[in-house]
Amino acid sequence: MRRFEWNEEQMEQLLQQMPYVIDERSKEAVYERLSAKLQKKRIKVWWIPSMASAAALLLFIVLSSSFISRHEVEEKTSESAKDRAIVMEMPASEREEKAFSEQSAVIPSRVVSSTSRQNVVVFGIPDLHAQHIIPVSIFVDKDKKSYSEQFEQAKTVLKEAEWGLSESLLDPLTIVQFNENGRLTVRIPGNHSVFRSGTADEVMFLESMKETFRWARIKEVAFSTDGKKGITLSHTGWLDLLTVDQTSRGYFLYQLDAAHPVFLIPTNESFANIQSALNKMDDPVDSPLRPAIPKNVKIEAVYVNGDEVTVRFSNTSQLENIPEILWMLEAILLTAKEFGFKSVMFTGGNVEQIGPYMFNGKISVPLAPNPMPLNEEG
Amino acid sequence: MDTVFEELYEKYHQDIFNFLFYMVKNREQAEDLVQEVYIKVLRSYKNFEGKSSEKTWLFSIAKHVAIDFFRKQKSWRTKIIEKFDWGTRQLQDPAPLPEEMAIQNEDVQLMYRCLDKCTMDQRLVIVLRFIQSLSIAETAEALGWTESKVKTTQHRALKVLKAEMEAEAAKGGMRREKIRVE
Repeated sequence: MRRFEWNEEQMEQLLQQMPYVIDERSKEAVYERLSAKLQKKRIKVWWIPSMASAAALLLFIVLSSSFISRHEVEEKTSESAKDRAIVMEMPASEREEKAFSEQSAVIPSRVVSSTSRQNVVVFGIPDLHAQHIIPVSIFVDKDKKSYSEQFEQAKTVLKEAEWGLSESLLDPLTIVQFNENGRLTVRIPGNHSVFRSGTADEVMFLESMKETFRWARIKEVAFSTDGKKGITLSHTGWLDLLTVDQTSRGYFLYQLDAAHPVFLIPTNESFANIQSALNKMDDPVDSPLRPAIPKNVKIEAVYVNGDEVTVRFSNTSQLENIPEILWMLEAILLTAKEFGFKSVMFTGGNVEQIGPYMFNGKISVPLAPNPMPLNEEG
Repeated sequence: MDTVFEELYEKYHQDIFNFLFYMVKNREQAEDLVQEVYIKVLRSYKNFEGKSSEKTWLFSIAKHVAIDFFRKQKSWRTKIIEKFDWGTRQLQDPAPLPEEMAIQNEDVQLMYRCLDKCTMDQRLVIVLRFIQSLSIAETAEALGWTESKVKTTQHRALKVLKAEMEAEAAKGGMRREKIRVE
């Protein structure tokens, strides 16, 4: 039955139900139209300064290109060495170990260090078999201030196929609102592949979003599909909001095959404390996952002290300067981050240093996992 | 890209667009008008003294842009009517419902259509207060009114809206079959 009367409270409620109609054009499209208009109206005033800036820009390009080309040659040599190192199949045979010790300086780190000079945007991307979500960090300019700008910039440099991943399901998304309290609104085009796919793909889609946005400390994602509030997935149903839980997980290694890079990948389950997470990390797992803690390494004790955690290895552990050990330390650092620790101290194991990590001293937890492409460093 | 533009866009674009949309009830026109707002804002941004909040300042500019639009449209309409001697009835046909509205429940749709029956001032208050969730003080600042004027206009607006809705609903059927979807 229809009502024919409304009281003031009901009127206000109805008003609040009015849909939030958004502008579906991109920022770039709005700006393009705007600048055309501005220029048309102010052409006389702008003529001289814009000539001057064009000249300055030209000068800048000429000068900087000479710097860049010299820089590139230097970088390329070290890049190729790094690429070679990371795609080698693990566990390392003797022959490979030798190769690694020769180039131990260039074992590529699989985390973005907390001292990175650049910002990163993390994308949760499904692996090739759409079984796991892999967090990948993309470096973005520090001058891109807002998360949505950084997100847009990062989208353009994803090379999923090259990295052995499925196509990112978040590419067609646009962030239309981002507020500091952790609420985000994304716009999804009606022709997104998720609307034509099965349950598993819907799960992957939602999980990618959770993995992506949790790194930006977002708590809630609101949807808008073709201007309508919410998202209707054929198997999941209608969703207005997606809650992004802050998880506390461990890490495994993931490598599709020898031709593709190693990724650090969070476990599916969350753990009550860091000890139980670390315990899980040496469990045997199905390929392409590998345990993050190799068989010949034993963690003897884990001490928690405020926002610091100390991880002591047994003296019989074979800690060497090889990729598998470096990545194990990085997996532990990321796990500590999951549990809210600020720093980690590694002790024992009869070593002083593995890669850049000094033992018996505080190491700040990293910013994010899996910087890509491999040759980029913060 | 202009940094002032970028900052304003990130913070307020969708709010201003949404406001303009509810004022003119047409997506394309709202798109045009939001450009107008930027042009005005970018030209006078350096004059912004921070006496009011940035947000209410932007809404006050958007308000002027919307009022300007109605004034122009009115004169344009008048001209056409004079020229072709159309009846005013044709022009008062219900505007097509935007798709965002077409999926809402009937009461919300009815309310959306009845917004037309409010005066410009009433509509400004309704959109700012209830759709944009501005406080009385913020609304007063954006519209350049006193707080008591906001309160009385809001009161009258709700009354008009309610009366129109009840009248429409009582007519029954609300000409539902005639509603076109954009």
